[in-house]
Amino acid sequence: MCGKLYIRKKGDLKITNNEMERISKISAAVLAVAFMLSLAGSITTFAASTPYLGVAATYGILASTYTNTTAGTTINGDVGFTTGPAVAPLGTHTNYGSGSPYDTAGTYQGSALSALASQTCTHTFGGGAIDLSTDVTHGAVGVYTPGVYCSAGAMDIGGPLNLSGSGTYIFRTLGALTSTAGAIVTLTDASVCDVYWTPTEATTLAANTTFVGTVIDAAGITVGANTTWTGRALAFGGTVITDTNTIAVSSCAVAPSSSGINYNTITVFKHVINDSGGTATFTDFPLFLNGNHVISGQSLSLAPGIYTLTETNLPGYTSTFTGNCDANGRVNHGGIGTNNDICTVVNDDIGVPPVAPIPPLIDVVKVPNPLALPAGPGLVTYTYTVKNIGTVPMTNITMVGDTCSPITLASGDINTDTRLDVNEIWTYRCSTTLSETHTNTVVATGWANGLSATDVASATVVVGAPIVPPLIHVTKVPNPLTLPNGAGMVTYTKKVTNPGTVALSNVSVTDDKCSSVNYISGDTNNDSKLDLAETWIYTCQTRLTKTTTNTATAIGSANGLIATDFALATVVVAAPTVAAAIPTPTAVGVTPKLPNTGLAPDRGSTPWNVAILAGLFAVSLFFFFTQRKRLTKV
Amino acid sequence: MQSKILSRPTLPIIILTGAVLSLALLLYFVPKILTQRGSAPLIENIVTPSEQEQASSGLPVRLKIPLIKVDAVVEYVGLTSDGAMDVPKSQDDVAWFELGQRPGDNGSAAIAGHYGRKNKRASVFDNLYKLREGDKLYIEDDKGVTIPFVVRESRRYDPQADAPDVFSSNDGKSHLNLITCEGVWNEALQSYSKRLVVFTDREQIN
Repeated sequence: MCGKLYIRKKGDLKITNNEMERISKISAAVLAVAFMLSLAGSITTFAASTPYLGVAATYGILASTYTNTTAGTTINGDVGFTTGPAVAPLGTHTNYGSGSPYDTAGTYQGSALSALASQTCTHTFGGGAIDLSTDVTHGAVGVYTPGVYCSAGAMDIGGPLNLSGSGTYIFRTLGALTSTAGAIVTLTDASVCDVYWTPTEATTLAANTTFVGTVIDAAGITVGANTTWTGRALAFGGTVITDTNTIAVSSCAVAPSSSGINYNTITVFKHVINDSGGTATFTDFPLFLNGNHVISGQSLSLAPGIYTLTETNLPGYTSTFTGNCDANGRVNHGGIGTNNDICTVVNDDIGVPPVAPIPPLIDVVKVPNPLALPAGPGLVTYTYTVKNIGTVPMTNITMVGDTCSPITLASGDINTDTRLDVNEIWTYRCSTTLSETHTNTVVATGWANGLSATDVASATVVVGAPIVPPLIHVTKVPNPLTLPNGAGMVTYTKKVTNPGTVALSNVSVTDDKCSSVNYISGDTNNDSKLDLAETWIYTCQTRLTKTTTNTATAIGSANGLIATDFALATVVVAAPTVAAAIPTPTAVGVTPKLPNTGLAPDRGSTPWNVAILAGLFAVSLFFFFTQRKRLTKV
Repeated sequence: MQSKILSRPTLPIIILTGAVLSLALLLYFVPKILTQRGSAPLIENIVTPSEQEQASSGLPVRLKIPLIKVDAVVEYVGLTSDGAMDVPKSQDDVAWFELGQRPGDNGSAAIAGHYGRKNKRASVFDNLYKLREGDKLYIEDDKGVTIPFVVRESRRYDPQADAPDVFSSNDGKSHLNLITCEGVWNEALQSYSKRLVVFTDREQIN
């Protein structure tokens, strides 16, 4: 109520009873929906979820010391260790020993264990050791459904154990994990990829056990004779001991969510800089998110977790990450109530450019109509406004959307030259039917002078609730765009606007490679809200020593929802002097063809001054010969 | 009898008309070139190459060729999709190939301009063919510096010819090469039959 009174008092402090009643109803509805949304988020956090293992996922054994003294052990999967076994295991391993990515796998083991440990217990056994095969407190004896099972004491698999149902199983114990000889763990509609065991003390599987799942146990894992295991023994920092065993790693892909309502998105895209003779384009660097191939510009709705963006390297190019990914391409992707993420891989051809080509700058704004579908599913039309905010025309303009297609150009290419000129504003549109609340993301890309320019825009449409989602937009322009004489200072000016219909609170702007972003001006009514008519200006200054692409992130909130936008910009830093570049024909490394500068002659472009005089001359000649003929007759 | 005919008033009319026509043709096809040769350019702040040739020049902003009345804004272009140097957007502007050298730096910079009448207007390099050895032109850069160049020679190329000498040089000197079209318009190819390149050298002041 206070909130509504506050809003209303800006225009009129008087509120009639009818108005109050209507407001109360709206308020109740908004609060109910907000509560439901928050509850949905809570449910998500209580359900067990499978952690991300990264490169550790390919390891059957990961240990500091791996001991195997008898022949007959087969490991189908990577084997990582610093102290190796007396008898090497059989089987197929791409990685064996302490070579890369052994250390990284250890890191992922730790992050996965943290993710598992953070999940709330769905069932807690009584005190002391527990035999999982005979326990009667959790449900049917010997049968477990997906969940987080916690014990303050040791866990023993004393007999048959069946994990039944699709979902994640986590067995967490503040003690040891053991099995009785001959124990069998079976799966019914469950995936071995979703079974995790996390004891705090040593794991000892007895002989002839049939075991499934991933054990993460740095206290050590000992596998009894002839035990077969589908899964992973991860004990980075500890010891793994095998004895005529068979351990097989299952292939576990990370499946993106099919629904946009549950999770925020990760948008991945390339940024290519050919300022030293390179000619590569996006397709020369295949992208992978957790090993799954993705295309530049693609947005994926993904469950919370740590994701890693990788690519196929191309010789002659450096590869760096910007956006929400860290230097290793990893992003800790959050769930509901957090933000969408973007990860960009910047590929720059190796070498210091003798001259600095002007990098292009592109800007895209996306506005859905309507912003909300309170009555339920319906048609939504997205309008995308694309501008050239740089100084050079761009070619090869592409728009990649995550869920709406086709995205068609409606207007803007005034001179129909297919180039996004500096003064042009191109408008695209796309319509789709939404059946659930969805955040749609689009990536706009253009090229100029061998450099790509990219911008991304996201917009949420709420379906089934009278909540208007916020929209935010940020542009970033560096000054200068190039540093032709080597390192120098660059000032980034960021302009944040509100293309939506509700004022934004808690507005903030960050930059991944320019730390001191300062608010300059824009909050004209000093209400600390980014109103629709306001443009908030921020600046940031930094010294660049090499060609750099950075990402600015603007965040604001309204109606309990968060809006995020990103802006990328590249500044090209050339060699300190160009004298050394004398022998270089051109910065593109090849001799260009001569330009076609000819303009088609105007049709009928007669030189009228000449034509008139020629006509006069013809008339004079006619007059002359007529006169001569007449005088001759005389 | 013949002399009598020629003494009639008609003859002066014919002679006068022919003279006027000849003058008109002369003025149409050879406009102003003779009157402008040797005229002093209104260029200030000219730098000599002796001290600054090794330093990086600024970005070009204007090209001035007083002899053919060119005073054009410099656009920056790269390559087209088929590997050719791009062209200026405006009929009145010239375009500097920014992936090459800067005018004034050691090496060969390239600037292109349109040729041909469009919308009843002339293009910036319509008269480029009139430049001769020794003619002067000037580049103004974004630092406010004017860099003088002197025409060395002109060459004609086929449109698809390789012309590495236009875009590069290794004599340790600064060159600026001006490119446009000429010849016969080919409607099918949407191109003129030749490319004209005027080679210039940065003026050496002793």
